[in-house]
Amino acid sequence: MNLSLLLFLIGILGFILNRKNIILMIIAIEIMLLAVTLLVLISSFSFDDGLGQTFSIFIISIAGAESVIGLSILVAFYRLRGNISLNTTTTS
Amino acid sequence: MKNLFIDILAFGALLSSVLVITSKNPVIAVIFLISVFINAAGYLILLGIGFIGISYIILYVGAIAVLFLFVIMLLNIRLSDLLEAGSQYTKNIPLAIAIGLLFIYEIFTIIPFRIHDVSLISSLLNLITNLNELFLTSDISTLNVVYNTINPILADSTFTNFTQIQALGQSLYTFGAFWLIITSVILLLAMVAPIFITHKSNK
Repeated sequence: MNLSLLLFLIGILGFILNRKNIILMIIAIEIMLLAVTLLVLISSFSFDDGLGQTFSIFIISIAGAESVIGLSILVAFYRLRGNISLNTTTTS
Repeated sequence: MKNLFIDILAFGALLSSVLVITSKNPVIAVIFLISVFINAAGYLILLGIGFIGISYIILYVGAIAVLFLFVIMLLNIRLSDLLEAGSQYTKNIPLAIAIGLLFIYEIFTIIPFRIHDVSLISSLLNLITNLNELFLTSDISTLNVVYNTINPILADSTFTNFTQIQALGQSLYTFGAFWLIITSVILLLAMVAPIFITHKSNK
């Protein structure tokens, strides 16, 4: 259980620290989803419940849909800008 | 022996996830992300959740990580754009420290139980809990016990004896069928939406 919580913490820290790199932000979201799924799986397994595994299948498919849409937004952003760096200092 | 393997896999997952968020090159980050997924899948398989662990490897490594690799190769990023992010990196450290401390404090003191802890990690966190008790003089550690009273010889637990995949399919196709339909609609939208987002309209 502490493994999944620490993975979630690392995902949050990666999301905060890598503000400029969108690919690493999407990867950090993916790590956070992995941590949440691990938490659901481990807690339901320790209570001898099978419903957590059913729920984790839904979470995995939602994670796949999220990463697909995020990466397609990234590709559209690259076509507009020509690069993918988030320069917040120059635009605002 | 099994506990040792679980400790090694958990430590590998944590180490490679730290390496994911600290690496500058996105290709290296995705390769360490694959390492995180494989370590987590091995952890689940050793714990006894076999089917979900194997489908982790299939779905995450086979689909999502390869998708990340394809997009990174497609975008043709200049590394010099990403390497100058170091000054931005240190600017966000106070926010990161504040959110990290808040998260650790909230989760590890409010959640009243610990199940399937990895003993290698929790030795450090027990230190934090003991320090909390020292400052707050509250008796948090008495809350950390959940009494499982599961008796496998009960009558209703011996009615049917499913294997893991049978139980999954039973719950997916009976009372989880509506969620399954909603998930399939979401996956259909996730297929249609990138086509419309990345579609180049000829004016």
